[in-house]
Amino acid sequence: MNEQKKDGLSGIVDLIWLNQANASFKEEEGFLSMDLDGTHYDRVLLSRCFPFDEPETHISVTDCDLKELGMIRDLQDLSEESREACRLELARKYFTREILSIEKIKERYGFTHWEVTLASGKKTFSVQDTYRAITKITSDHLLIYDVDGNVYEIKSVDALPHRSYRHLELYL
Amino acid sequence: MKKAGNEIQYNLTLSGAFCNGRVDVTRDVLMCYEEDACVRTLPFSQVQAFLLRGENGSVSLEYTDLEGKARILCRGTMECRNLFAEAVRQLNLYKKNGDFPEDLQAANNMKCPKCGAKLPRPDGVCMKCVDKKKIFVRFVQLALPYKKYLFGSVFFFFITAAIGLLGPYVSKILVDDYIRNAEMQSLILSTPGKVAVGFVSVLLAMLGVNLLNEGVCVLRNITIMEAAVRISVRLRDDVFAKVHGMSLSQISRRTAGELIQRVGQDTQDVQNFIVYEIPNVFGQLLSLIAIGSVMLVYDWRLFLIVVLPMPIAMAAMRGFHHKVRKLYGQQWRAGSRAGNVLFDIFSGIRVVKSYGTEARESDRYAKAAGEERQIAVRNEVFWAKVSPFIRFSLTLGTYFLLYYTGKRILGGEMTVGEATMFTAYVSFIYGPIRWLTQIPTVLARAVTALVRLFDVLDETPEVADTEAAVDLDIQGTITFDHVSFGYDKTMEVLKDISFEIHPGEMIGLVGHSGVGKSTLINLVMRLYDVTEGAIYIDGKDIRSISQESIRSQVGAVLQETFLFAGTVYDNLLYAKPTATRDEIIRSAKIAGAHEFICKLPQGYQTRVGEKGQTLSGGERQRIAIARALLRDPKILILDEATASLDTETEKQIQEALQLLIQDRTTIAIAHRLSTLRNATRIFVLDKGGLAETGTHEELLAKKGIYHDLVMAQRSMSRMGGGKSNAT
Repeated sequence: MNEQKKDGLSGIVDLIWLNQANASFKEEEGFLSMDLDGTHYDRVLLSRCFPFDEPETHISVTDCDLKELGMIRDLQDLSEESREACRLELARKYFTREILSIEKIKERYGFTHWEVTLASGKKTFSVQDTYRAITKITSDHLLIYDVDGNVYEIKSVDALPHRSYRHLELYL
Repeated sequence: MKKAGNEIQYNLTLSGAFCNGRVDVTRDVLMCYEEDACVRTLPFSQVQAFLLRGENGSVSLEYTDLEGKARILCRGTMECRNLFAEAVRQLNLYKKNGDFPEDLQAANNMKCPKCGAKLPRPDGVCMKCVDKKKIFVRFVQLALPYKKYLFGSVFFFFITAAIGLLGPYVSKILVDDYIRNAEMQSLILSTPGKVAVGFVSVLLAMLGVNLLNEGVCVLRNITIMEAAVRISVRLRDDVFAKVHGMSLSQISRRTAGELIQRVGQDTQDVQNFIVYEIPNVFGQLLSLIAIGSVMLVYDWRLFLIVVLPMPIAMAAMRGFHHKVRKLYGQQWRAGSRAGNVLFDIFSGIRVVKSYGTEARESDRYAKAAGEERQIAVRNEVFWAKVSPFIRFSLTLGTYFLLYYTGKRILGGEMTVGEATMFTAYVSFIYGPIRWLTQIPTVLARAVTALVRLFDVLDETPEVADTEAAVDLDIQGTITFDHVSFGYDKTMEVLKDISFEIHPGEMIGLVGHSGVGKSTLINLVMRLYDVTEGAIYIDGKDIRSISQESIRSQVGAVLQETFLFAGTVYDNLLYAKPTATRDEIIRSAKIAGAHEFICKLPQGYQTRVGEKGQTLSGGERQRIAIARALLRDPKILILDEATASLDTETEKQIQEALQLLIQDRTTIAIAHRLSTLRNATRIFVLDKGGLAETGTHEELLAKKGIYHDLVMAQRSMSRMGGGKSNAT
């Protein structure tokens, strides 16, 4: 299943692919632990190589000193329990809140003050240097960084209610 | 018992769901509550140390248990970061010294107490709640020393407003008394000379009024410009001086662009406000009041015809202004994106050429330019459709005016001259309306600039000399006493480092990239203050020595040498402005720079570009060494001084450096360990701590990190046969 077509570099550097045959992950008191070929790691960290395009594939697994222990090619390669534990860890690490609608954007003294609706309810936040604080992953998919460093996501600008789009339009 | 304020609020559960959580901090135990239910307890006795870990969009307060295992106490969104950081600091202090945290909430000074919005810095100004009146009062205080210019210009504004009323009035006399006067026709026939004198006098009066108006305008513009330039230059000087007084960490919190914006653009905005907007306030308001009063006195109905549509016109203009701003804002940004693409391609043109990707880059630019074109065309079409209607609607009032005045002229209730005068006054009145709609934007821009400037001016320097700071004649002993430091609260770069360096010693600083070597020397130069512990120079806490005294006796040769725009001579003189030409040449000669400088077309007076592009890396480094030599520093810092050079140049520069380090306390960072063979001692940093110390031989024999690094470089050297000759 995990056999990859060998390229010219595979002879020089071999990637360790983690799958249910050699690795299992578990959620333990807020951390992700891993058993790899009989070795137990109390805490491992996950990093998405392509966080926007491939949230569940090409995931690097490192120890706390950021030394890579292996790569997960696809979360589907793991057992269900491991997969859920990894998903939880990834959600914690890439903590973004999805904006469902924008009620108001008020501009004042170089800041914009946003009133939005998230899945968890209404939320207000402030953004400095608004044009730069909005990162376009694609023309339709946006990330917005507020003054604290929280990340908000608009998965599809086109899918926003028309009124929300009117508020946002000025900054696109 | 828990003290008031000794709780740490958090808002995420361990699994990352939102919650209403708090940690109650007591002397023996930490208790985590979520929705008022206790979910975890942690006795202090189970903790080795607390630490903070930041992720993308969240932060966690963690600890290591007695077995050194990392564990988590609580988690929060980024709003919790400062509180967590302060908690980690205070809880670690409590573990170490038994100082029980007094007030963990102190870290909440990053939030506006009124609206809860994030502040740009602790106890900074909230842009949302800032008191505009206070800002303008401060602005007036700032402008007070230049009051003679300001009052002068206000006086001239009154004069110009008054003269403005005269123009249409003289026109009225001209029309009514000469052009349209029936009696005048007979007078012309009987006494043409007398009429001609009167007619010419009125014309001359018109000319005089216009000339006087222009003359007063010149005086008004000169005085207001004098005031504006003086105020903005003073602001610029103050901000510039303030920025220089800030610590590197305060400066680093702002980008270079932001600082340039503060010193350049914001002061320019204030200047523009004084030059263009204050005159508008006086000019337009005075015009409105004066013309309005004249019209009211002459004919109140006419006044109503003119004034009543004003709110509608203002609202329409405001709406239109908003729309135009949106459309042209998008066009400007699309243009800026296309410009950036172009800049990117030209900056990397060597890469583009070498990879043969010209066609791909052309497409990239065409796409960006196409987007701009599309928006520009859309805007122009919009403008072409809308502008005739706007022009028409703006002149609509004139038709009403014409109807009314025409009717009154025909009825013999008004003269043609009066109608001409009113038409001129109305055009004067409708001019300010457009400006009135923009007042909020104009004021907001000025307040924003002032608030930002005052924010910089009010910032307390983090690395500041105390009143008791002394000048010290440095001998060269450097002591680190349990020093910890982090640029960011979530990441401690150096942890609990202690050592002593004796005068004249040469210390090699070794470790992996990012381990904190450069940070350590930044602390020695006191570019930052330590978070924990203390640094002593000759037994004196570095914070009690004046910064000027430290920096004048510390010389640094860094990996990248920045050469200011100017001549080679200017750049050498930078280190010691009082140096004689003989000294300059001697230092250049020791540094091995003299020979190549003499070969330059204008010798020492050859101009070097902003980044010294005309000189090679080796040449720039030699200038840096000559600079350091001129300073005759007591402590010398070499941060990868030869890393970017080829082996031959490196060898030559190493020889120059050997002359430089004699009898000076030297701290040298080098990846190429061969350059540190002669070091008195070598310090190996690992994971932010001091892992090994000893001479080259001692560390090799120890077979630790240093040994591994040397072996790794040896094997690389064998593979490459070049640069990485380890020993």
